[in-house]
Amino acid sequence: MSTTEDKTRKVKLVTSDNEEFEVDWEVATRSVLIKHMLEDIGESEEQAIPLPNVTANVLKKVLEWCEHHRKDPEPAPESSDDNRKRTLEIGDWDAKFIQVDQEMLFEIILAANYLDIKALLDVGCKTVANMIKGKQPEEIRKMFNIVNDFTPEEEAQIKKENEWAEDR
Amino acid sequence: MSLRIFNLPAELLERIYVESEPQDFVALSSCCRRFYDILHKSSNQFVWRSHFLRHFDDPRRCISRLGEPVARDARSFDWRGELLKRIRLDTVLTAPSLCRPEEVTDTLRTLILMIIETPPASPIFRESELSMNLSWLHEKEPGFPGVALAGFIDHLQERELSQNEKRLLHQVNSLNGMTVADLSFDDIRSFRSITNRCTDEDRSNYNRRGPYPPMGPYQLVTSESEVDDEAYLKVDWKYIHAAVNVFASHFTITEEDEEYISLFNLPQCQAQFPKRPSSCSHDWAGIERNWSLYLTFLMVDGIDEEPEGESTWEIRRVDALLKVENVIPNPMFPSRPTIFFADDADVHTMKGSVSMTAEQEVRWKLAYTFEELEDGMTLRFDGVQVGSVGSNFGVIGTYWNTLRPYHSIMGPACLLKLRE
Repeated sequence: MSTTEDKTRKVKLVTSDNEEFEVDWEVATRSVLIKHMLEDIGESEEQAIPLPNVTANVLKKVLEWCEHHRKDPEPAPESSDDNRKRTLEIGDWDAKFIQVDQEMLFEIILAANYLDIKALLDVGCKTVANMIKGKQPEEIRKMFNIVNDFTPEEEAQIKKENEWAEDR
Repeated sequence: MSLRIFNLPAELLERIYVESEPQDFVALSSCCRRFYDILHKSSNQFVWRSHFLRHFDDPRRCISRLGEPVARDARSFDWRGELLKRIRLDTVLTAPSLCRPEEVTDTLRTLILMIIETPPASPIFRESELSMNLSWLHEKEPGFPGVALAGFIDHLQERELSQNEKRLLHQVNSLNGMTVADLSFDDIRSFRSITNRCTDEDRSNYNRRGPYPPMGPYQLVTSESEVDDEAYLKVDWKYIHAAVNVFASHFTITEEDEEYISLFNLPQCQAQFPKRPSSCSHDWAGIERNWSLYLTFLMVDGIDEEPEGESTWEIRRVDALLKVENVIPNPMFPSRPTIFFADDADVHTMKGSVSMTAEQEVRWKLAYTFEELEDGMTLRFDGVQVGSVGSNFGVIGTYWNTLRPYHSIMGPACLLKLRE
């Protein structure tokens, strides 16, 4: 199905806020979801792909990533739920790309998950992992604006459960 | 409403947990009830399992030292509990002084299971089959293989330990092979100190109680009965450790004798399936292979005096292809009957048995008869399977001459599987 002639093919994407993007087939198909949809609709090039879960400003950002990674090798299918090897560290370009505000970061993570772009999802999740590195729960709550809904007793209990993490 | 981390679906939070270090995802999970539940209420412990499998052998592929599965499925394994044990192990191996006195026993037990319970390898060992547990232990200190575990062992040697802790430590030390402290081990002196432990009174007791070598690989635990009862045997890991040192320091690396290279170290503990299955379906101990029996002779004048000057162990080797002869049920271990074997020669020179002890150790007994010597002298060997059944580590024990008084042990001996 995906042959060299696809390289010149353009794909139309429509966001939830009705904005239309026209991108190269190679860029759009970084998304496994879009790839499968294209396979389903076949050669009818005119048909636009609706993406009702993604807004234009997020898709723009996601497509920027896809454009930069258009030549990357196809990701290996995830072997099982036991992803044994941790994916590689975030590359320089990706690190710069993902320097966005928190809301955009989580939007990108959601969109990458919905569009099924594993490498971008990894970059997003790793970025969050880096943000919480070495932090205490209180610092994380503050950073992400999370409301502490534990009772003091529960909190004491959890602290006890997690003593191993302190004792190093 | 603007999107916050709180609004991410559970599967994405799990992904973030998987990408974070354990201390960090635990902190994140402690932020609120929802995050906590996502980590802890997942029935298959997905996050803990992912982290566990990143460094360690999949327990679903591991076998116990008797060749039985360790975990039948993901749900029968406590991924969180086991990962936490190993995180702690990582801490104390890196800084042994952090090991609290009350956690010594558990730490040593964790180590023993990590070393013994690994995935079996194929007959022709491929590097990709090397156990992740063993390479984790072996490479803890980059550039200095095995240093972390050996350093931990040597650190504990300096501590005041209970009898049981000492015993576990000797077992770990036996499995690990020689440590720095062992390198300065004076094998002859140490062996004498082990054998001297046995008083004349002990000897007469042992003689009365049946055929246990008084300072061999097994100790007789107090027994009310006077009959030969394997239920009262316990492995003497101090003895095994000393014997491993004798063999490990003897089998030094030489160009022409490559098969002797590191016969006693962690990677040797991993089980390997035989090329050909045994003719006997009850051969759970992997007897039907080529074996070498190594017997030591202490070359020193005046055995009862402190050795002066140089004295060494001389080692003789006898090869044999062993065959199962007979199997007798063992009521205590229905799936592990006692197996009787002999070598495949027309006139047997080697005969013996493999049985389970009450302590669930695998005991090898063997009689070797020299036809060419006067009176057809028979040597008896009694040993413990140190690594897994089917591993290259082999059986470590002692041997003695039946013509001499029973308690006169002649020296350490071992039975090693020949490379296929």
